[in-house]
Amino acid sequence: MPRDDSEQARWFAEHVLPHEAALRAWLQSRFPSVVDVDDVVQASYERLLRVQETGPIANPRAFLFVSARNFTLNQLRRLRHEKRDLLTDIDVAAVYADTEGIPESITHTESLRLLVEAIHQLPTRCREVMTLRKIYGLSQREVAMQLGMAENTVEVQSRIGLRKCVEFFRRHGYGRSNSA
Amino acid sequence: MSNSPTNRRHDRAIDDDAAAWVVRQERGLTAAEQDAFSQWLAADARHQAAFAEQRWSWEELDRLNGLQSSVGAVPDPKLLAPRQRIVARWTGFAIVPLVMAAAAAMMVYLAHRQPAGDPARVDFRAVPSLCEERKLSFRSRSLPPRGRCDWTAAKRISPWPTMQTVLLL
Repeated sequence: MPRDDSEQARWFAEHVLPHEAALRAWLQSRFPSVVDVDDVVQASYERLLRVQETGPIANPRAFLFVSARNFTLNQLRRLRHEKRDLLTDIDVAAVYADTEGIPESITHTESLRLLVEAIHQLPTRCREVMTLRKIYGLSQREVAMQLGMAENTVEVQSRIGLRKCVEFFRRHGYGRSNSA
Repeated sequence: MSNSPTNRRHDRAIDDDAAAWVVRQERGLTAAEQDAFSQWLAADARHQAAFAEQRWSWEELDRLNGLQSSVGAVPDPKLLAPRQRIVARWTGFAIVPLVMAAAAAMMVYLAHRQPAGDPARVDFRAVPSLCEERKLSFRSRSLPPRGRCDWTAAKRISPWPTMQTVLLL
């Protein structure tokens, strides 16, 4: 979905910027040890715009929060503040739950339908794990708790789920060159 | 590249390894894993290509973040379960009201079929006294032997087999 700059700027102003205050507040409350919230917000915006340039995003606010969480966790790991017990219990889903309804035009976009179909065709356990991870943005540990599985099992199921999704994408000709 | 079964298995193994590294990377690699990952990437150009594809696909799926979100929504792992299962689940829930509706319909039918259709109001005056005793025993869950009751008369009173079962057991 390539857009010209002014169109993208308008989309950004309407669908992304209104969430910045909430995003910053959430980052500061959940990751008090993060030194530079600006860096995380900037990196999240960059990723959001990069992905949005090549196709639709179901829920920009959710995407933004999940991206920010992942960037923060990576930053903290790099800084050797690795305390996985603390870092993985972050309920992103609860933060973006107040998102306004997702327009039908978005959810019916062909590429999003293909992504949904990729998860839909997975074996039951894989599908449940991938649904919680990719649609609800839960971490590996949160998925393990929700499904009553060992974290390692979630990791294995995620690996199988991802590989099968990639095979599904190949069968449907969905790749980096033609995903837009 | 040949498309022989051996090569396909090998490609699949590379994909599997690549997917595993993507997922591990997502939860954060330990120092030992980081070394192993670097070695794996450097070992074969196909590893880099496979990793890039798996990583890209993992991130593509993030487009679905928050696809199903509303106030108070509880993450539902069965959100994308096949339709058939959803129908089965609904059928499971629906069976209770269906049974209740069927029972109610049968009660209406009995009420019209014969005035004493409700076993609680069966007219035991039409059967011998032992059946009267049976009715009382039924309530106390201590029933007399079958041979002591006039079953023909009892059936005439309660024509619905299921009700008879309830009444006469």
